[in-house]
Amino acid sequence: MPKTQTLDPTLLDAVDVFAGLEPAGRERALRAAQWIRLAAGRQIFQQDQEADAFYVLSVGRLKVSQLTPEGQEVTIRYIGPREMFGCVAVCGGLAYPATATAVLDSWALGWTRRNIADLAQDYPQIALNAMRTMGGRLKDTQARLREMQTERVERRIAHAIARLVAQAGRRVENGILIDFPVSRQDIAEMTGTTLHTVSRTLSAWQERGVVELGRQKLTVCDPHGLVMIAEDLPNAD
Amino acid sequence: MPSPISLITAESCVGEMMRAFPATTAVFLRRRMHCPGCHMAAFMTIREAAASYGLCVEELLRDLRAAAPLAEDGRRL
Repeated sequence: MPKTQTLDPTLLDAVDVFAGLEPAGRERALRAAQWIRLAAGRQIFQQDQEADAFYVLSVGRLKVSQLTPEGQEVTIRYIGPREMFGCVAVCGGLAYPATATAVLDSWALGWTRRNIADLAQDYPQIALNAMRTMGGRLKDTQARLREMQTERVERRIAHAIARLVAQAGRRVENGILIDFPVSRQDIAEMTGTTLHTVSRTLSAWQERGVVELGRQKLTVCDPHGLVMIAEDLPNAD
Repeated sequence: MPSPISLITAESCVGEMMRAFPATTAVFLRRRMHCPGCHMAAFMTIREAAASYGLCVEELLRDLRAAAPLAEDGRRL
């Protein structure tokens, strides 16, 4: 692996925090940067480590992985040339949420938080760019949170239907019928949610063929499908 | 008087079979199938369970029959 890397100035174009900088600012940013050399297998930073620097990859390939609460190592994504990583250092995060490991011999350009703070003094555009990146991340996080809340409610509804099946199910031609009149309102009350949410959820499931709805009548057409929702089972590989 | 399940076949009810032959529960666990205790087990056949998990029903039946006890006349139940 070469001991030095020639710097391609256009690499800066790939760094969103330096967008819209005048040439003098770009010069300063390039001079502040540090080359980081990573042999394959080396980690550049670890999950939960203090996030003091962010990087853009020049050459090579990295793997970004996380240890889940269940103790499993999961690969989140791969980083290729001209992609940024460790951005949480710019967004004001305190710790890296994941571990970055080189899978090929790699070179990256890095800036510390201190570098950015200093540069931002003279080039406020940098601070504005960072704010915009943070805003984007916040939006993504909020969307994911909403998704998770929806998933929880759906699991509760699926569980409730499974219990009704266990209690009063009867095998019919197109599935398992819940053999007594049950309304969306009943299910809403069983699950501590609203009629609106139950209606929306059951309609979506009907589209997918998991259930079939009648007048106060519910048939489970895809029992395994319902259980996959209720138990949050992973899809078959 | 033969039991309600005198043979484990593809059309056997999963729930009834597990109740009649508790040892078959272990087969489902080994294969990472969620049938034990599943509310739907009472309403699904072994064929349907295999299809739900994308498994070969013949292989599943072979494992289930191997786990179940022999009848008095030496016949596999």
